[in-house]
Amino acid sequence: MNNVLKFKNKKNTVAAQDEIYNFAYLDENTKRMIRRALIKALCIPGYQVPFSSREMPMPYGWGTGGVQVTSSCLTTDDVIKVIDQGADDTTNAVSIRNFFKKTANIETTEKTSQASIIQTRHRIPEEKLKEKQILVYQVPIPEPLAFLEPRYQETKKMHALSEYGIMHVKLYEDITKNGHIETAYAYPVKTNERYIMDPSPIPKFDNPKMNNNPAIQLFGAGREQRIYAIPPYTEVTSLDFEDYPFDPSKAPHKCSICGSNESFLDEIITDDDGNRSFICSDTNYCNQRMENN
Amino acid sequence: MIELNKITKKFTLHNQGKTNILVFNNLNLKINPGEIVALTGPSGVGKSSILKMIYGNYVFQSGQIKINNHNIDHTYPRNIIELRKNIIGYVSQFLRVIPRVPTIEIVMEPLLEINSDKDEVREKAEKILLKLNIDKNLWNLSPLTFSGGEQQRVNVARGLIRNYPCLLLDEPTASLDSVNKDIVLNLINEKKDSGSSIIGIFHDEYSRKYLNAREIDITKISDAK
Amino acid sequence: MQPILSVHNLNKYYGNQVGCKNMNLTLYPGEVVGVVGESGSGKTTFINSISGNLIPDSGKILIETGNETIDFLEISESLKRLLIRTELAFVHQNPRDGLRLDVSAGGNISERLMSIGQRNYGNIRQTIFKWLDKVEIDKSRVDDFPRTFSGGMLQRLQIAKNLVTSPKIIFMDEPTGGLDVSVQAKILDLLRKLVRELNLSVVIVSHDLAVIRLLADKIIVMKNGEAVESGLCDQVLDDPQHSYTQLLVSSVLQV
Repeated sequence: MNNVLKFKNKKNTVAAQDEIYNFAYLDENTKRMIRRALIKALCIPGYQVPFSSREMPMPYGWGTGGVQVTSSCLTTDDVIKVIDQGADDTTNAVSIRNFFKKTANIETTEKTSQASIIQTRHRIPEEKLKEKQILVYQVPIPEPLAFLEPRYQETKKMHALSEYGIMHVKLYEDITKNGHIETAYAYPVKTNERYIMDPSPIPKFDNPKMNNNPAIQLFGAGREQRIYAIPPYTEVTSLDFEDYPFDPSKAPHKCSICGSNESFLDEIITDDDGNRSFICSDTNYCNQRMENN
Repeated sequence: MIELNKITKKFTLHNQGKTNILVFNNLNLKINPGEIVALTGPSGVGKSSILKMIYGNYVFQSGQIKINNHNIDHTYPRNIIELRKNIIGYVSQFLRVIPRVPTIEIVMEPLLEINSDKDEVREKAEKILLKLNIDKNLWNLSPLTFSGGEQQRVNVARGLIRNYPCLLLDEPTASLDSVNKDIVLNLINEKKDSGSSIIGIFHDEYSRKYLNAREIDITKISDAK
Repeated sequence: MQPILSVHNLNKYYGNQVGCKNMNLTLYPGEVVGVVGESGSGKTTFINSISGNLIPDSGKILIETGNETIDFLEISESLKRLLIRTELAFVHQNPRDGLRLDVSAGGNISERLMSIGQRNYGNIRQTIFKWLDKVEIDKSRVDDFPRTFSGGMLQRLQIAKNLVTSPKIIFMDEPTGGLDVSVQAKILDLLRKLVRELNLSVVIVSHDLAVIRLLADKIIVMKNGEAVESGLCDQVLDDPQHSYTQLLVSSVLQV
């Protein structure tokens, strides 16, 4: 794991990076502080570790938490990939990729298999992750109990004492209202049979990918100043009822570009008549399938 | 068996200049199983007070009250609660119930404490209400709107639905017409014949004679007054 | 028989102010103990101190669970909270304090069940219906939000929510306080039935002597944070010994 995280401060201030910035923007002390939080988070899977989030040169909600985590993990040898809703080519993804190119002068890629660090907003890549890869999630609201129990003090106690009955109240309400569990994204999970965790707003389709994943999964919430993590090969289960089991469903269509049956799809309205088509949300996955055919 | 030995009872009215009223001094009384004792004496002499001391509503300053060999001891309220549940039945002069509760349920209640079979209990309650001439149409209404006589009969039904070894009766026939009075008195006689120790206050000579009660004038058994 | 709850020499101060002082209580299974006294006499402080809502300054609270005696003030926070949501229940005067208003009636009742690990929706649903029936709320209201309920229904819902895990000890703070008299009667009747059917052990606080007389077996009369008289409920009310109790009893309006 040490090998993967490369927490060593190797040649970080050299290279042809922009002279104005320290390597990967953050100063070394901040990175050290964040790494400490990361290590604690990895030791207690799913537990939210407070950290002193910095002002970043981008607004809250644009991934400041993820960027700080990525910045603290980066070494000069890393290859970074950034996706937003699965896509490499949307504004948020492009901006963050450029940010690290400029401040760390490191290699970037769109290929999932070639990246050593992948920062993501709201998706997990379709391609299976491997050991020695790090997946960094951008998290808007880290507290899964926040919508049910407004008192922060109380949610901390509930986590500490595993008082999670109220989590199922939410699912109960879903079933009574809709006949099934309606929560489709940010579907709560239990990590390592202990902490209930918000997986960030990924579709529930991605939830099973978190379970027993060989890669390290790190979560950063900048505005809420929380870091949490799932170490490699950790059990992650989605909450459900015995008679209403978790169902990682997706739209029952094929990708209209690559024809994949298995990937998570975005719905695109194609004209004013309301015609629509479905395409892979993971652009890299879709492109690679097209290249291989 | 109910026994009162050397009972002293006084009231201290703290808010009226600490007035002390001595009600009984050296009161002795014994009621055997299968016996009915009727308390007599002028009004205000403490007939009801004796029943209330036996039932545990009133404390007494010295002496001893024994119910089937159990002491009435106010330092252990728990024991009195148990005695009331199992041994002492009390038919008070006035009906005290929760508003809006149907008559039938009020009558069933004492029996439900020892019998959880609701249907069986309901059957018994219906039987005794019929016997006491309470119209079937009234069973599902609260007795609080009934006439005085009807209320009293509901109260009697509630008190006599169980077979208590000791029974306290406070004017159970006071506002009844002669037909219903005889019915109630017959019920009381049944309890006596089944071996209950019964002590009561009956305002009329007729009832006391009908029950063949042993009459006791309180003024003669207590030193007070 | 062992008392299910016993409180010994309990003290609670707010700074120099007495909350309650030298309080004792013994509660047996199936028994109802009433705590009465005027406003400010310390009733609520007392019930909050023995139910885990407040931490008393000194004293002892013993809870008998059937196989062990728990020293309530010495156990860990986690065990205490576990007890509070399984073996103990607290019915607030204002049902809005004890309910989640943005969760359906059924959801409110289900919370305690799921917090003790029930994970079968169908079974949970059945239990909810059983309890709605017990507290006389129409089954068709199961998915409605509490905010659409009347005051009396809210109180009944709060009672169902609390009793669903069959707690051993129920604490009630003026459970009929904010209700009009006709609704109050229905709630009193319901409570009496539940106490008998489920053999509940209850500590109930009320300033209303009539309510206490109808529900309680034993009574504690409080004044200025202390118990001035205690004992069998109708004995204390029929033959009060302490001057304050005499005053209290004689102050009740006769209807």
